[in-house]
Amino acid sequence: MDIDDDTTVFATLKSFKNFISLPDASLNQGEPAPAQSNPLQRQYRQRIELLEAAEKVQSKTQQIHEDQEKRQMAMSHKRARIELEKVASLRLSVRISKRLEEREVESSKSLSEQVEANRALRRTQETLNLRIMERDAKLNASYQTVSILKDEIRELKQQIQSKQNIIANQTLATQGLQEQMELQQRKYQEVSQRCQDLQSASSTCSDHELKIKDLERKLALQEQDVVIVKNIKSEVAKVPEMEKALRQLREENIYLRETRENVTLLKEETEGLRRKVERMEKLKEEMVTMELEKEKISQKLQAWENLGQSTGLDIQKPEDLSREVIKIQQREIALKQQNYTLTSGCRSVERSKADLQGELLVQRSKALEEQKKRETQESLVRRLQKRVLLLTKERDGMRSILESYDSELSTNDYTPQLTRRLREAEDVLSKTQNHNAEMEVRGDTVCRSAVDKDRIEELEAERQRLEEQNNVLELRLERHDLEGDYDPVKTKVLHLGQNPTSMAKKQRLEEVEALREEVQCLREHLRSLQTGGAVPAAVGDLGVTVNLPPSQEILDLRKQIESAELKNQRLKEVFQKKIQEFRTVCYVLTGYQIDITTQNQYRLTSLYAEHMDDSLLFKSTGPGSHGNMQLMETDFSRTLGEMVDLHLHHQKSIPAFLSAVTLDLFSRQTTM
Amino acid sequence: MTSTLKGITLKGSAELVAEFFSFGINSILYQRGIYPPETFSRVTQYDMSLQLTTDTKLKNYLANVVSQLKEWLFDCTVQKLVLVITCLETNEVLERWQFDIACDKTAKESSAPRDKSIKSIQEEIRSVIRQITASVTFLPLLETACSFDLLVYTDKDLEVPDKWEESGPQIIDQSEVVRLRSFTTSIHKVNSMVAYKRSDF
Repeated sequence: MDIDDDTTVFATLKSFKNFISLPDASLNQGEPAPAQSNPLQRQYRQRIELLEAAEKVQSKTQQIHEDQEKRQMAMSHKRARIELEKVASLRLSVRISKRLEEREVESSKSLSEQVEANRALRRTQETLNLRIMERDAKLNASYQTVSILKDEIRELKQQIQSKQNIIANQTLATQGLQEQMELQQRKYQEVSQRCQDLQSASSTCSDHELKIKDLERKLALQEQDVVIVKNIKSEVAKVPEMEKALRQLREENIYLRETRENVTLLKEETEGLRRKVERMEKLKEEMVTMELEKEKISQKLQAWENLGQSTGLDIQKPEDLSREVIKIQQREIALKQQNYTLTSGCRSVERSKADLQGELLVQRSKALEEQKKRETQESLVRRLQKRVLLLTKERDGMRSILESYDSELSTNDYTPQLTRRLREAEDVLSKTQNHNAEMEVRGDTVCRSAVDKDRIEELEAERQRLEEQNNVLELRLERHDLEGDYDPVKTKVLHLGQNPTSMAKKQRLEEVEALREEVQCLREHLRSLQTGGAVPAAVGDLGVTVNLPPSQEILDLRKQIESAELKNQRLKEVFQKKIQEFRTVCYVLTGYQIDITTQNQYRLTSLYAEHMDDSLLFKSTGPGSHGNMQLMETDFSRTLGEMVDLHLHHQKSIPAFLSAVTLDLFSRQTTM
Repeated sequence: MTSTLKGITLKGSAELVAEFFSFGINSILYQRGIYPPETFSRVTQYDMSLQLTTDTKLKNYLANVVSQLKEWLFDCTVQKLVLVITCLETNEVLERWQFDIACDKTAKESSAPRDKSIKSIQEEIRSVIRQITASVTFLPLLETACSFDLLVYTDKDLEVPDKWEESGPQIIDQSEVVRLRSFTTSIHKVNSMVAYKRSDF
């Protein structure tokens, strides 16, 4: 059965494979079936593989079966043999009764052997049975797997059927769609045909429109032509008058031509006459000038003729005059030559004069030098005279010393020294006398009077002092001169007005000014930015534009600030509204208006209070939380002493107290 | 032209001296860094390479002053030429280059040219300019921005020309003076010296 089922399964599998392979092509065209068939195909393949594995397993089981059969057969064979042997032994037992005894042992042996063989066979049989059991188990397992596979195959079949159904549906759908497509194609064709018709109609319309436009144009042209024709008609009406006028004009024309010819002739005559008149006038003028010239020339001639008489020379012809002129010219030339010679002589004289002047200067300078020399020599002479005087005085002194020595001393030891000294002094004296004589020979003899020695020393000292002062002052003057000092009496200092230093100073000042103004502008700008105002206008007149646009960040931040402030305001308003609402609701519902007087103190005013000031004060105790309240003493609370005792001290409930108070007040209000 | 083979006339001497002043002032401006070195270009004069300014304003100014100076040298009415360097920030005079001019007035009267070769004059001028360049070694650095001015010491009775005006001598107080070389064209004698502000240590 299984095998048959397997074979049938194989057959269906193969046919299914074939079936699957066929619609692949058709399904790929339209619907999204390929997506579904691929997994199906995979599943089928998997199932097929499983089936193949099952086939293998089945074949193996078959082999096991066959082996089992073989063994059974072997077993049966063996059993048959055993039986045969047993029979043979039985047959032989009769024959071999005799042999039994001989062969009892053998038979027993053989029996034992057979028993052993039987045992072995039984063992083998047991083993074979075990194996068979195992194989049976395996077979069962394989049967199970086969059943599972069969189930799976059934499931697959179901799936396949379902898929087939789906495919069938889809094919139907495709068919329907194809039909729709065909319908739509037909519609499209119809529509295209209509379109073409419409296009042809529109083209014909456009053609008609063009024709209409042409006709309209032609109409316009014809209207213009009509207008032109009217104008021409009107003009044509004027033609006969024009012809008359034309005839008149022609006659006039002929007449005018004739007159023109006459006029040209007359003009020519007048021109000729005019020229003649001009010529005659010119001739007249020439004649007048000629007469004047004639008179002048006659006068000149007379003058020339009288020349001879006026100059007193023998002049009767122009040749004489020319002769005289030549003579005069020659005389002139001669005089000029004389003049040149005289001037050259003058110049040479002047040159010699200049030379002489130069020589004179030289001589004068020489004379000055000589004078100076003489003066120096005079001064030398004076000095020498002074020296002479000094020396004579020295000599006198020496002489007096000597005389004193002579008078004082009387020893002979000193006499040679004294005599030597005397001799030396005398030599000196003679020398000085000779020198003096020479000096006297050389120079003039001007002897200054004797001057006091002391005065000379004083003067010398003063002179030295003055010389030192002079040196110092000269040094100072030189130093000042080096530094650039000058005598304002003799010199002045000039410089160009437009010099680089003044220009540089001006530039510096201008720069500084410009920088100062820039700094001011920037400071103002900074101030304005700090106050948060708009950007100040550019300071254009200075050429300094301070146009710093507020940075994007600042603008964003400002916007944020504004939005935050708006939010704050809105929240405040909302909060106020809400709290107001809440308070009114509390008042209305509980009958008490609760006000916060100071931190942690709450004042309750009842709706039914008799006086405005009647209020209860509560203070919250406890850190942080406002749960624990204590009643404070007020005028109103003193009047409610009983309720306070009852509700607060005994019952320890504030709401009860409050409600009791409300009820009490309400009762009082309604009754009163 | 001063290249007369016969000798130096008054006019030629005036031209030589004016030329020396023009190149000397340019050298001083370059050495002391009054104007940036890139505004100067190299030229050859007196057989040495000197720096001449290319700044047009400065050139015009110098040309004006030197041309007027030439006239005054010809008239022998100028006594000194001073280049004053002022610090722009403190308006103090920092340096003073003074050129004393001694003119032989007899050359005005006689028109005979003097016998002195141009070469020797140029030698002397060269040594003066070399000294000016070498003065950099002892002159203190001009660290601040400076500007210069040219003063001319003339005779008191001279007629002040257009655009020129009187000014003070602009003397440095507490200055050190260094005498430099002098040169003479046999008609004009020019002594050079430089005075600088004593730097406090």
